[in-house]
Amino acid sequence: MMTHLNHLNHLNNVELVDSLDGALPASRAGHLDACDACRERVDSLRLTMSAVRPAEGDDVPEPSPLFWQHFSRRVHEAVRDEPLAPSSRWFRAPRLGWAAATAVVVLAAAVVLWNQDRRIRDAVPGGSAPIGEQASSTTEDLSWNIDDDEDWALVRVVADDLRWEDAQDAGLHARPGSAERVALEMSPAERQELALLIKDDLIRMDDLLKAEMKRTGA
Amino acid sequence: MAARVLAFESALASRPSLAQNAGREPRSEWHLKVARAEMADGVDPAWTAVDDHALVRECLAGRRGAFDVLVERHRRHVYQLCYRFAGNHEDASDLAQEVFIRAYRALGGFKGQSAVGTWLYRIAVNLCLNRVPSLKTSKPPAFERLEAREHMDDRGEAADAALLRAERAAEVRAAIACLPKKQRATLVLRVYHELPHEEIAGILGSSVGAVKANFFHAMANLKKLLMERSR
Repeated sequence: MMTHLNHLNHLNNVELVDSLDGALPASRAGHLDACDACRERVDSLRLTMSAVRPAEGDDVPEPSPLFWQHFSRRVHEAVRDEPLAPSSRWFRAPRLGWAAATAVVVLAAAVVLWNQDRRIRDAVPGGSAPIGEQASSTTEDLSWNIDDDEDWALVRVVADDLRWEDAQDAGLHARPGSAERVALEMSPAERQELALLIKDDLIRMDDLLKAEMKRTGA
Repeated sequence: MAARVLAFESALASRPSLAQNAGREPRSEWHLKVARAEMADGVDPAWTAVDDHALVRECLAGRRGAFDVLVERHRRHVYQLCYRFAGNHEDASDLAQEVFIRAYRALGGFKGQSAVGTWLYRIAVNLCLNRVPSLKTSKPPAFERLEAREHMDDRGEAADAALLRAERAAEVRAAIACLPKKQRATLVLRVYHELPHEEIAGILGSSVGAVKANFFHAMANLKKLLMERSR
């Protein structure tokens, strides 16, 4: 009966490997100490391991230093004309990529509309409605007239890398609060990169806006 | 049969253990010469303190010199892995070169969830497992190794002892080549590259338990193969 129980408790293959690595749990190490059969199996495994392990330099000869120089040069030349992988990590993570693109669109739109609104308010005497009301109505207009709104045409210029149809197919829609939600999911480094993207695009858009105002005489 | 097993195991016991040869860093004069030559490879010294993940980001940002540094850092281990599958310098060199070309092309898909070295090993293992059976190895590995050892044998070892060791190593390598693919990869990564089971699991896309089981079966099959060859 005792022998039968011992047999049932023999180390399995994974435990034998753990034993070889000195990683056998204490609860099983007791069995190994008491069981000749398991110890023989571990010893046999250890002997095979020592046979396979090479003496230094026995298994792979060290190539000459010249080989390594040539090797690096060959790799360098082979990839020299290869197109680079996507240069922005935003597009390596599709979910984050779309989120970032959406954030750029929404934040840029908010800034553009706020700037335009301020100009109108400055130009029209007495046009000083509470800011909260203005922002609310502006966002509401955006939500419902997105395809016809000229301001959103400007936004599309900002996000010219983003295929609008793809964004809509992916179920992304700009809504109040979208930008905040997206921004909150980003790491500090990602937020910093996003800020740089937005800054670049706003500079470009500001130039476009000035050119348009100059053309129309506004 | 029992006597044969005993004879085989005595022969195994006489093999030098890895503990006597521990450490993967170059130690001999030859290795020091190699290391010095590599310093002069033309890699921008400003990159040397940059970690692998940052180098990947630099490369993706268009600074291709960063990839040269990655190649310089990992080329030896990748080459050694390829050699252990191919068994000769020529094929190992071609395979290792292709590993880096594939890595460059796939750089945009590297998520940084593993070490760059692990990722390169994964590419290398997949490539070797797919390619090696079809490689035409015209030179016997033992011949090539002895040729290479002319440059590096500074231990004053008797020629016949070196030859004997070379023959044994060749037998072991030939036996390893007969193992099923996953067992072979597991054994090479565990024994020769001394990777932990967890990292091997990441490279082979298996569970840790499966890696340990594969390793056990690899050792058992290897023992059987070596015994058959010694008869």
